[in-house]
Amino acid sequence: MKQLFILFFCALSGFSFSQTKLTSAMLGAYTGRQIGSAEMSGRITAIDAVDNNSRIFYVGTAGGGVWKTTNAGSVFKPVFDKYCQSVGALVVDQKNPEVVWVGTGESNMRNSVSIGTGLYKTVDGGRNWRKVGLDSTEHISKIAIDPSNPDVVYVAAPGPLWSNSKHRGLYKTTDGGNSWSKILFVDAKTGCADVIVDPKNSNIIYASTWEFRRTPWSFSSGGKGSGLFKSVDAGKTWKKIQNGFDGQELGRICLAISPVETNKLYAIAESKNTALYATKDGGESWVKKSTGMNVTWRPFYFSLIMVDPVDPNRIYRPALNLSISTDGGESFKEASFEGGWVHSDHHALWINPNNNNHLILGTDGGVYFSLDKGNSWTMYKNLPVSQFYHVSYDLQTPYNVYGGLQDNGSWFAPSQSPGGIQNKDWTNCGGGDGFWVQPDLSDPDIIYSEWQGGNIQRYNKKTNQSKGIKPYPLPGEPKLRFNWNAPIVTSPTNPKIIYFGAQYLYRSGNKGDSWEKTSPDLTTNNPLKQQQEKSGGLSVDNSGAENHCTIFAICESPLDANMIWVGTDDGNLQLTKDGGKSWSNLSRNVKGLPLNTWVSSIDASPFDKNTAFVTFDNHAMGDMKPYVYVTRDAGKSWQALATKDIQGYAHKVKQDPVNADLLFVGTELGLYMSMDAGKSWIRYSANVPPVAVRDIQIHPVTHDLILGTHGRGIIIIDDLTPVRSMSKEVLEKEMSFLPSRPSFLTTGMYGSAFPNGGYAGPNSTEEYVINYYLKNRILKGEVRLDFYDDKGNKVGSTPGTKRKGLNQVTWDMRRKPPRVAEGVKLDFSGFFGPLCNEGTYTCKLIVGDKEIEQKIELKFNPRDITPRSERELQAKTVEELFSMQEDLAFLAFRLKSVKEQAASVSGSNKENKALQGQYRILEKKINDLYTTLVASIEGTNITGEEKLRERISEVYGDVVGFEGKPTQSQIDMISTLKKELQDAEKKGNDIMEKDLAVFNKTLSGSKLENIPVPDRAAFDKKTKKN
Amino acid sequence: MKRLLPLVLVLFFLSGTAPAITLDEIISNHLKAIGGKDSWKKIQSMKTSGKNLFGSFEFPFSQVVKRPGYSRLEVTIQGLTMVQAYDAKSQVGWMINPFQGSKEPRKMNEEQVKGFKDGLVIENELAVYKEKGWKAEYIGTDDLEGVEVYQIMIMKPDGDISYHFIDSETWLLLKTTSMVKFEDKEVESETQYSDFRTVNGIVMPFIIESMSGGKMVSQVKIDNVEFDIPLEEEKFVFPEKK
Repeated sequence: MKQLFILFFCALSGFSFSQTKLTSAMLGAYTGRQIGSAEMSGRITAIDAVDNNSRIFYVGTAGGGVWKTTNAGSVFKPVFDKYCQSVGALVVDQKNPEVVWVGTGESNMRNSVSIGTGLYKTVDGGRNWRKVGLDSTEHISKIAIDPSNPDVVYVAAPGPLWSNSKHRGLYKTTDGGNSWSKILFVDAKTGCADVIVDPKNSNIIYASTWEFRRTPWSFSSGGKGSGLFKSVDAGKTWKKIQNGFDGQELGRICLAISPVETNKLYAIAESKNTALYATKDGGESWVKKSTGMNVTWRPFYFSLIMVDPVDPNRIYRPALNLSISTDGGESFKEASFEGGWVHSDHHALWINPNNNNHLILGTDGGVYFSLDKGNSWTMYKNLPVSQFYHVSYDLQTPYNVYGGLQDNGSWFAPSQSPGGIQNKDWTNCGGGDGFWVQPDLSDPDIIYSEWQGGNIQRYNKKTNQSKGIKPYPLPGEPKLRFNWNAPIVTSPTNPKIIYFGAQYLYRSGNKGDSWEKTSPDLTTNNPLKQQQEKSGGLSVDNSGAENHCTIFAICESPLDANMIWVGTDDGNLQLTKDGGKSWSNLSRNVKGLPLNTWVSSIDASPFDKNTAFVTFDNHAMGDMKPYVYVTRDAGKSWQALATKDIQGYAHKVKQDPVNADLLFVGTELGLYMSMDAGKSWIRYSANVPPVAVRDIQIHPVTHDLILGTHGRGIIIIDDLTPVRSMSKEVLEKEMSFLPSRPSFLTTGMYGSAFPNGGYAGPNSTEEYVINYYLKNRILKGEVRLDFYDDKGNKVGSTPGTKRKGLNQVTWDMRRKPPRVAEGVKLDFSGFFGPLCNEGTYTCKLIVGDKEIEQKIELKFNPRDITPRSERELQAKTVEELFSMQEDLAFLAFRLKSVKEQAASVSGSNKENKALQGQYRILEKKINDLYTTLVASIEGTNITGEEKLRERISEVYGDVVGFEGKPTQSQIDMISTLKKELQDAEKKGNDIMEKDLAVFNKTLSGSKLENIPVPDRAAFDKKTKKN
Repeated sequence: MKRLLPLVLVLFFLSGTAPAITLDEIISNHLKAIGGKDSWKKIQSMKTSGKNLFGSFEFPFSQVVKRPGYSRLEVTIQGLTMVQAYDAKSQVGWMINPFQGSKEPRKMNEEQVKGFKDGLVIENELAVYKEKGWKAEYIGTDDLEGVEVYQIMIMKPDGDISYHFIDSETWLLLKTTSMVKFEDKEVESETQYSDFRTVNGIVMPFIIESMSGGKMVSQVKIDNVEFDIPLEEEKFVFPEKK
């Protein structure tokens, strides 16, 4: 009865026990390819090393996670890829260097800064991490460990940037992170920006508080809440120590202490007259020192000052540039660039306490090291942490990807390159801060890019010249307002049309030589949001980053060029259906969306012109929720698609052009995917960390998913074809093949990634790809794929993977290599089989005792120009060489077998003198022939022995590795070798027939069994042909 | 409605979070699943043979191991046989690598021999860590190719660390990652186990894969295993020149 009830209840609630859901882990086989770039690297926010073994150090980045090296930077590995990728602070526990603390949420509060998810700790050198608290602080700027007790840790959290919050201040733990208390808090607008523990007296703590706020159109640093504090009782009580500071109101204050004279501290205090201050009495009184530009410029962004571990008067100020003082801060000089240019904008510095010549500097363009106190620098060129804003592609083979980087200009690179996509494969096509980059699909020499402030450029690859093509206002028109990240978008149907957005939409049909204003002011044009010249608070900061009331997203419908969607940063969502003559603002139709929410992206559907997907981003108002909407009636009504499964504010939505139910969303915390038109979402995590995914493209030819990430460069997930096919029905199958894009018969052009002084991103495979689905992970039995030709011969086999979910295995399309004569060295041709011929093959997937099969086609790439007749000659020639090696192997096998049998029987009959004599004759005859067949001289030196086997191998290697006709020399050589082989076979037959016969006669005479000559079947059996 | 109520309660409890699992529970379930600690202790020696796979190349291998740490592995390629052996008595590891033309036996260097010194030729680390005095810790759950696994860390006194991933459903050991420290570097290796079969009262994997970056680099496929066959010690001793 009970059972009936259970079933009945379940039926009522629609609950099914057996339904298989697609999870993130099941997609684990399709790993993203991170292709860089490390050429210009990215923004570095924290560096710390193991003081007693400086080969080991950690690099924290603004959006690319934490990287660790154990060999002084020769190799870096990402160690934080399961967690939020924005690092605010990082510290190694010097008493237990396997313990490292990471505070997430970069605290250099630029407009594009990311958010953190709390404080993390590892106890095994970064292999495993645990979140220990401060979940809602969003930004952490400093972590200080009590040098006398590593369980006591202080964390400075400036807290949320875009809203009031109690989750800010100075936090302390006394139990290694299990529990926390807030020991210095001013108010909901003010956080803690810096903290120092006196290295000689753990009761003395210095901390600075900072009042600050950002809005979508302004920034303010400074206020009553800011201050500099000191505690002498380990944080229980505090007093202000601002005696000598200039200015009533303070902004951001950064601190440094001399480890050798701990009464000497330095502080850069932001005020209306920002300055560097020095104290000799532990902060009781301060004396103003330098007010030089590099010291005082942009204090909200450059908040780092450090004292040399040995010399208390030597100070480093990494900021726009690196300045060094040797007189206690009175004067500074710029560090030289003798070793080459060092990227500007510095946020991290580590000085080796055991060797103060050795410095490691973190800039907005990567990590550098110096071994001469900062006079010359060398860049680590293997950190692929670039921050792309957008990514585009072209239709070449292989296709190129294009994108602009925060702080590092605009670049493009191929998606495949011999030896991997290396630093040298990235080509610069623009400077400044890069954002949108578009290749002109009608002219392969032209690339459009921009630098901040709407400075759109047209770059010509052939001439390496750039032309500024920015539109200017017409007489009487107001100043043009460009977003920091102004959209450059091309028409999906007419490659000659480009769009550019200010507060008006501009369109050009002549590569930007003239622009047509295609709209009125599409923004709210709110004057209160256009006062950027006042932005900055205590320090005016108007770089263009706060420009507001601008167009941010443009999308022309692929089905109707007159339908253009435009989204603005102040929340207008505008649509024209007549090519720009009239516009309607649809934002009020989006229910559940706060007013004036920034439109981050628009994706007009390729399936139906009335359907469009839009993401909205309200993080700049303190609202971190993802907003994703779809309309199917040209904007009259909207349906919300974001569920609680999506983390992070949304940057981009993309609908798959083949499977309308497949959607992708990129947020500040990763890539998300839905297979049911947005009802449910999973995070795509296979080698795609929870990095900010700012842009998503899907290549129409290769079906690659291309991600522009803001911290891990460009990531490509090859071939969405199998993922597209994951229906509910497929998920229930025990095992089934999944479709792939065509693979071609080839020996391969690009090879594996081989780092050569930098980073090398992997290429996609050129082998034959087989995708399959397994409902469960396989624990019993073997997983294997076997390949058969159309005559039923097995031509190859490869082990399979056993993952639960999607699996991908590649086959090199080679037949088994030829068997070779056994010698004293390995022979290359024994490892290298010929490429299979074109045709239909059967692929069998064997899982334990179950199997399924599918037919696959092996074909050369139709783009390949090698004539069929040449390929046929190559195949025929390879067959000849193949048979020659096998015939030689058979001959050698027979000779060896006879000799071994003869040796055995003569060894067991040592008294038989006649037999011994006959054996010696036979043995000599066989050895004399054998040593002409294959290299026989033992020894590790390069003997350079070339016998028949080696000479056949040489030609085999030439012919088998090239996809075209053999040379005449090769063909002639084959004739020569064939004749020699025939001669050898004749000599061998003579031995078998004549000399062996004599030996056998002697055996018979002694009533011993004759030695048979093994036949081909015995050879096949011994060498296990199949 | 009254009749349905108890059901609601049942479902509520069913859907509650599982109680936290302990290190000892995991280890004990694991040892039970592989046949019990005693069944393994009984075994004095093992001989396995089968195929070694590198990509699509396949070579036959044969290996014998004997307590307290003797081992000899032979792999034959193109008629040339490579030997890798360890003599537990003299603590000498050696090999014959004929592929470049020389059949001279050579002693292993420090890096090559370190892995043999533990003497773990029969059981895995989880079965013996306690008596060896190593520290073990349960780190938490993780995902391995779509299944939930328990991650256990074992720390040896010389600083080497290994991680062991146990299937939360079958309690079998699916993967091991070891970090071996040398003076100038740390070497990481990852091994996956599958095709589990019951033989001689124990459950052991018949496929052992060496992984790098989540992808398989080489595979050992066992075709045959024999237990406690007679073995001469000369097989393991370094062949001195005569």
